Amino acid sequence: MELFRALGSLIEVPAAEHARVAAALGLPAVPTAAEHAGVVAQQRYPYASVYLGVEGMMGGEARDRIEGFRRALGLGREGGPRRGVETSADHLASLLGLLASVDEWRREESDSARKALLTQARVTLVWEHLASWTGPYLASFEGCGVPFYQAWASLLGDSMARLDREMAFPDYLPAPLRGAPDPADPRREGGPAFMGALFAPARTGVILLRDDLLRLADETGLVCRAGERRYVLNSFLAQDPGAALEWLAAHAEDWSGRVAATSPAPVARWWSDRATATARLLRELAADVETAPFEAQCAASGVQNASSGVQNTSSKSHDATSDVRSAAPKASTSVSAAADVR
Amino acid sequence: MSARPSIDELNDRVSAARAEVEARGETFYPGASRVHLAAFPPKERWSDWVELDSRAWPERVERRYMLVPTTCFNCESACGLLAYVDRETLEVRKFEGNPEHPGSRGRNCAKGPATVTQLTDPDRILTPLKRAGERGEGKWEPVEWDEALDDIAGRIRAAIDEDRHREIMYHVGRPGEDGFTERTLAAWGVDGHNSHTNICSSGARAGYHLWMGMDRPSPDHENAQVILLVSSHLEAGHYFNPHAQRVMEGKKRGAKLIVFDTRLSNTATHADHWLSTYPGSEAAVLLSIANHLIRTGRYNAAFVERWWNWQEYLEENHPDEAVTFEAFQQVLGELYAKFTFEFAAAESGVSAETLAEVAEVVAGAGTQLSTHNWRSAAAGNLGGWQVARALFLLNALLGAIAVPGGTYPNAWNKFVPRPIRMPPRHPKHWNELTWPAEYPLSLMEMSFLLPHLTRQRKTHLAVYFTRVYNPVWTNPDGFSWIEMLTDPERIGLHVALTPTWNETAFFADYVLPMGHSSERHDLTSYEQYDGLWIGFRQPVLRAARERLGETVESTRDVTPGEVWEENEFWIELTWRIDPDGSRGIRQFFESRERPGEKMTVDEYYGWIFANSVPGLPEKAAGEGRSPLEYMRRYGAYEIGRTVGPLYEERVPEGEMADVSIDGAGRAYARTGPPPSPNVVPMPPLEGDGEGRRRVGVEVGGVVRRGFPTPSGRLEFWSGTLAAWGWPELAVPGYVRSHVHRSKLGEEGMCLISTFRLPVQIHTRSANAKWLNEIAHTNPLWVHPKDAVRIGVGTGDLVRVETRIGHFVVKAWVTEGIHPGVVACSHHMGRWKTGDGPRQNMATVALHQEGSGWGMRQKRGTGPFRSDDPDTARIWWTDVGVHQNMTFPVQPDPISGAHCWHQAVRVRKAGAGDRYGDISVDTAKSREAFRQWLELTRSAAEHSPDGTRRPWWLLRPVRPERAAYDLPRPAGNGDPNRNGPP
Repeated sequence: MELFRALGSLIEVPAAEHARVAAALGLPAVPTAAEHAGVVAQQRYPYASVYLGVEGMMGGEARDRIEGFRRALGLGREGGPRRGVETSADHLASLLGLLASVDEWRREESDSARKALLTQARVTLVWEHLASWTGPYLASFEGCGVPFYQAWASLLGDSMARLDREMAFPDYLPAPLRGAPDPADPRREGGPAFMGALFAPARTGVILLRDDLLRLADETGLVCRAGERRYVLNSFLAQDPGAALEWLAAHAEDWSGRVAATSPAPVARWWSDRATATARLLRELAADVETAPFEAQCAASGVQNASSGVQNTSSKSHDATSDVRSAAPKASTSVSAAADVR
Repeated sequence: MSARPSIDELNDRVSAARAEVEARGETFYPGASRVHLAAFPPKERWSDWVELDSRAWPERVERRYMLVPTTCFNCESACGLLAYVDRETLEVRKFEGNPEHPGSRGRNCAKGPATVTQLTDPDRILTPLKRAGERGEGKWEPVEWDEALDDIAGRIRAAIDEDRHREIMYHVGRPGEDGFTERTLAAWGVDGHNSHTNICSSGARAGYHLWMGMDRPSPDHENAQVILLVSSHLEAGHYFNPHAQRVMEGKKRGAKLIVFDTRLSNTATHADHWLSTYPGSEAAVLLSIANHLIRTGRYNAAFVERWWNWQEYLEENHPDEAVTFEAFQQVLGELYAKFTFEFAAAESGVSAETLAEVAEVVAGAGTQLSTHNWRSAAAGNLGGWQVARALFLLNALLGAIAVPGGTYPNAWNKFVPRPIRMPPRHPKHWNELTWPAEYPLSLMEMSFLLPHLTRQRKTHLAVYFTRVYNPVWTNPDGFSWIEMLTDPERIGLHVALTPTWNETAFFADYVLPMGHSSERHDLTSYEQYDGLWIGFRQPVLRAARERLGETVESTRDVTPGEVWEENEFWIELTWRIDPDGSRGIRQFFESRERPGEKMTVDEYYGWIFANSVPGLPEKAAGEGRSPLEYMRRYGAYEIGRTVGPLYEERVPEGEMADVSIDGAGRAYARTGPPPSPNVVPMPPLEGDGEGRRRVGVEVGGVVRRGFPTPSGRLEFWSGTLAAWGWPELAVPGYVRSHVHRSKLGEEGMCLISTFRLPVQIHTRSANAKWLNEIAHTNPLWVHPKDAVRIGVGTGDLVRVETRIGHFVVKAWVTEGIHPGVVACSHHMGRWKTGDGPRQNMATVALHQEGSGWGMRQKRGTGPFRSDDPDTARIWWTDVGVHQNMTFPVQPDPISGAHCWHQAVRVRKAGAGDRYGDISVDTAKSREAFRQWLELTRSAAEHSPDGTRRPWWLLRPVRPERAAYDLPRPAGNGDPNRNGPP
């Protein structure tokens, strides 16, 4: 369906052409480049590997899987007979463009065996590489503050749901979810591993945005330092680990509910269960803080402290030039714009 | 709130919207490749594109541009560029890639965008100049175009009228265009084309030509399973940007990359298998892989049986054998059995285990083996052409020829549109300076021997053009070039057509300023994937003004100063050579639309686009444009893709009148050739002697197109080589190079001098400040073991002694080079003796005493004040060393290619040595020339049919058939030594 290609194009940097694409889909006015940066480029990275990879980063095995899938389809020839397919394998626009292309090739294929293969490829593409992560990803747009992206996420969600109704998916989970390790317990794996895993949705079931951290600061009264997400969270844990962990646990519980109906049932259940497990871990950790400092819990593992380095920086927490209170999300977004995707 | 339409309704809406927009030739989705290359302005906004002015930052100042396509001229890849023309000032502000170009697809290397720095070079030649003192003295005076044209035309006219056609010569570097100038020379009836190719690619191209009739490879890297590069092609080779992006796509799809490169080049760093072969051993390694394929039965026997000329080989070489394929397979195995991995390891220095591993990788490629060799080993070594023969042998064994992922012949991936008024005539005279009888099989002109041949044969050139070419600097033996250029007995008038000052132009009589890539018209088409495209180079300010409704009569009206474009220059010059048309020359440059008037470039290209490019008129009409308007707007057009294995194509019935098939399966028919708009050079094949034309070859009971070779098949065995005196080299084999270890002596080393720096391109980029800042020197790569033996470290001066002299350069000690080998990039070492360009040229003193020449650097480059504030920021002084001057000519006796690698001795510099010193004895150069000449087998003794050269071999500006006949010997039988016939 061309619809998927069109929806994919709209997650890219806004261009003049987007106006007519959006108009054809009845979407609100296209966002500005700044809105795209604030909502998408700096927070909701549209790459499957971020949500399916064990490190929560772009690339790696999660992208390799998709590239392998493309190779199996004989792709990689830009401008070839299958022109129009993007070459950045795990970008949402690429995946949705590929879905539209597979639909077209399937429609045009006269050989029944090849048609059957393309039908199977379509199922694999949707199940393994799209439905496995788009549910929680689209859920993250809720409350993003830009009507266009909210409407876009809603329409894409509905379109994916339609596929769910039409297609016969396998009775096993997508491979990235099957293989995703549990959230890291700092008491066994150390602080850095715990911190890394918190930003890997495939491990926690939770998407933790920069805006979420600002809300954390706002609601707990902690000081939000300027820096990438991990740095910011480290500083929260250094300031008041109990409050920070409680807030994160509540956030994970909230996520568990939010993702429960966004994807095909087994996938949605996996995300929801994983978020619940994460919430449980965070609650335990918060409770342990009552009896032992969080740093000590991490240190007990013999692995480097999660908040190592935080002590030094927290001693400067009154430095007005680098501290940012979580007042207006707009202002904090602009301060923290430089960090994070890796 | 109204209900949202259904998903199906929305899908229909967006599909309809897309179809409607694209029907108008506009872009529905932004960008050509929307994720990573999203910055391309959509083509419908190329006439009014708005960007913020980066120099105004932090103010947000908008600038409006017209985006006008052209083609890069900084190398032969001909990548598409988009010029950003400021609508307010009508100046070019920058260049970016043209996403509509099928070859480069919007991507460029550093040299493309750097074009803007060449346009604004403060030392640019802006007016025609005439020599005011002695040649080389550096004194010039401005001259009007009219005066220069009249003088040059008068001399050419006199030469033609007095039957001195041989005295006119046009010497071109990289042409960067298809056909215009050759057409001009054909119109003049002059066999005066002289290319640089024999110091460049002709070694490899001779190898390819002998195999398949076409002389260049067109590898389909993006669909390959295994990519084998004999070169650093990924970073700096010919067509490297279009190929490199496809190599990387192939790798992304899982292809394995094998690189043969003595140096740890950037290409080698990307390889899955890097073989640091000793220079000249490449063919031995390739043949060991071939032996592995044959020995293990891992070759495509069906393809070999079908398409090799094995029957001819058996009949001629094994008359006692039954002519069966089984017998051939037996012979084939015996032929290559000696090329074991152990033998190749001993020759190359690469372990037998590694070679076996790589051979297995090749064996697993199936028909998806893409291979490439352009210069590199083929340009470095005696017998270098056998490197290409041995490399293509692997393709031929696997059947990886003109199939997806394999290697195609260039002529099937290249489209040269037939021009208006194609001169039907061929020169009547044979030019012995460029095509001497000693080199009957030379792929191209023996250009680099010109100083020796003019001296030896006491020949005079009345008018000698150097066109964007710098032989004094680029060729070996530069002092012999200076001796020739300053000798009025040999060079009557030297006209340098160049956009940029160069060492050769310093010795010219006229220096005529020509445009850069955005200031000239040209057509290009190159083999960069399995497809056919044309690219249009155009003066972008001319196109921009025309978009604004202005009429531009001449490109000279929109260029800086008096800069012109060559095509209008040639038209004007031709009219002055034949002012009244009585010589039959002018007619080819007369307007068809306005008889009696000059043809304009608009008419020339407009006619081609309207009549010779299939599909273009219809495509243009679909957008409401003329074909010329379409090309001016988009700069490129793809005629077709997926050409496929044309050799398998069945010859249609319509071409088979009175067909006759000879004993070798060659099919001849009385039907004339079908009209083709594509005039890409192809070998002329002999008819059957009864008036029939070769149409194909019978394979599998069907007459198919086959290959344009004498046999119609792939010529594993070259009957041409055998017949013209080289039977022992007629099959792919291994020639021990002149730099083979056994020939170097105790202290000898091999010097690799041919490699490029990725951001430079011979002499063309010398005035590009951005590029010069990135790369401006050429230290000598020395392996640590050799450095210890020589007693030097990085930065120390070394003296590199060649056969005819020496140069002094800094050492760079690195493990990235094979022990026993040193390497120095040929890109650097630009020089001037006095006033001249100030960027990246050293000021030197030249000293001559008899045949002894010396050069000493007085100072390097440095900051200077000009209109461009950047010139005051030049922070480097070292501009490298001009090593080529110390190299003797070393022509391969078969391909004619200069064998660049040098046998040298490297010593720690002495107390009197200074950086950049050069010393040469040109008497030794002449002795070297004579010794290499002795390796030849002249047509005078070896021609099987009394001609100078096999008729079927490719040749620019092919003379008429009678001119091929050798003159009747009057003395010792050598036609050249007897003077012109």
